[in-house]
Amino acid sequence: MGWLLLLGLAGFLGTCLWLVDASPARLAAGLPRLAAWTARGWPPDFSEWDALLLRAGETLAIGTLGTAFAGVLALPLSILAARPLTPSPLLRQPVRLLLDGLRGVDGFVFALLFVAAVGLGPFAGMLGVLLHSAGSIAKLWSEEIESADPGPLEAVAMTGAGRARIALFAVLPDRLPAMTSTLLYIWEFNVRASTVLGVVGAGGLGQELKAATDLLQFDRVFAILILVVLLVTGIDRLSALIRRRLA
Amino acid sequence: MSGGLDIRGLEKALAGQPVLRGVDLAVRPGELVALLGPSGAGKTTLFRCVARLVRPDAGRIRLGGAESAPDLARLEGAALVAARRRVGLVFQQFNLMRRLSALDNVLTGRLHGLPLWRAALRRFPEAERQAALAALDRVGLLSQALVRADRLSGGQQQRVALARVLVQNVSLLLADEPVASLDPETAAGVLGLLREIARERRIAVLVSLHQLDYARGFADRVVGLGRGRVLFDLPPAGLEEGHLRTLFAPPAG
Repeated sequence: MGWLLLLGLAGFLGTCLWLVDASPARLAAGLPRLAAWTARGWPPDFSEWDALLLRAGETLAIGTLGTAFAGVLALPLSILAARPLTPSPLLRQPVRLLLDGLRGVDGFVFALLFVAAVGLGPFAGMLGVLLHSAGSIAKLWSEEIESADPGPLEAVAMTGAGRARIALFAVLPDRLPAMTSTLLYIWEFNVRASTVLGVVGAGGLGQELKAATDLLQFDRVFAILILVVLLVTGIDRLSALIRRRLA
Repeated sequence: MSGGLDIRGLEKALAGQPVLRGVDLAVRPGELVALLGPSGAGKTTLFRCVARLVRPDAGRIRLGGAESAPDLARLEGAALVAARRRVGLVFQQFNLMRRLSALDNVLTGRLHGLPLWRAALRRFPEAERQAALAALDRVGLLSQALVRADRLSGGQQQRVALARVLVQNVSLLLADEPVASLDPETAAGVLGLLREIARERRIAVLVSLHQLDYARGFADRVVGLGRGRVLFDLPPAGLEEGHLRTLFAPPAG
């Protein structure tokens, strides 16, 4: 049985290797090229620093607003999807299906669609981030509500108050730190994801990155990558700091 | 005020096993009745039936004494929700919302009927806040009103749970092993408070306990529940060794 499983796994991995068309020879040929470009990338070109900073600001704005609006959208959805608070179990399943759908499609894909719908630029990026992470946030929040100790909930229900009042006054405030922590985590993730949204024309640093690689301006690519790393690690640190305070 | 709790012929099976086999039990207003019995005797199931967290299979449960009072065992829907407001339940594990303040936990007792926007903005009318503070004062915790529930000791948390029931204006208070997680001194304080509340507010109080000393010290009557039936119903002074042997004897055959 174990052998059969191992054989199956090996076959699966082999098929995958064939599908990605893996070729050590091509890697060997490509590596020196990459090394030459890296060498040409030094020193990084920050000459248009004001334009780059604006793009970095766009990236931060896309991730932040996308997360904030997604949170507003996710709050009612998470209540509908959480077993102890949903007004009807019949409603809960379709809502969960919707959330899985939103989560299943990457923000990148949504951004691509929004670029077509509302035009190039960071607005399309923000909408894409918003739609995808509304699904993720609502799903995680509903799980946080469901993992709450059922005892206190039963006690509050015994006072004869309806579910909506219980949710607003007792359950959500009680779960607020955990839910905020989740939101910050998604924020980190979204700022990181927003650095590449520009590749599909949805604004931010990714737009400069794509332009620079297309023109083989590797000193500029290097400068952008440095900015990306600084931005992402800065946000990660800040978010981790706030989350520690919440715990 | 007339009233109290009147249970007749209550039956309940869980997963096909009979747990309550025809329980008759009455608690008068202002009276504290201790429910004594080994674990598995059906004490918690009895409480859950009376609080209507589960539906009894047979029998009736009257609140308010009169023959015309609605049968709690048969109520459903909105009528059940309304009737349940007159029943307070206190648990062994206190069951407070941990991150809310003592005051907010007490206020949940007044949450029904509050406009939704007030619930969302946490703005209770001044009269309700005063009532909650008065209840906290009654249980001796006014100074801790704004302290988070999980920062309070076990005895303090149980007192907050009692204050929550007080502002709910219940006519029946069910306390399921309310002092099982407390040290003896704190436990005696909580039970004393329960008895005072019963007298002052003319509330019928039914308390399950597993320690005989507490039942003797605080109850007006002691009811022994064994294998789903009431085995004795006595004033504490009438309690004898024989009664306890029947109660805690291993099931025959």
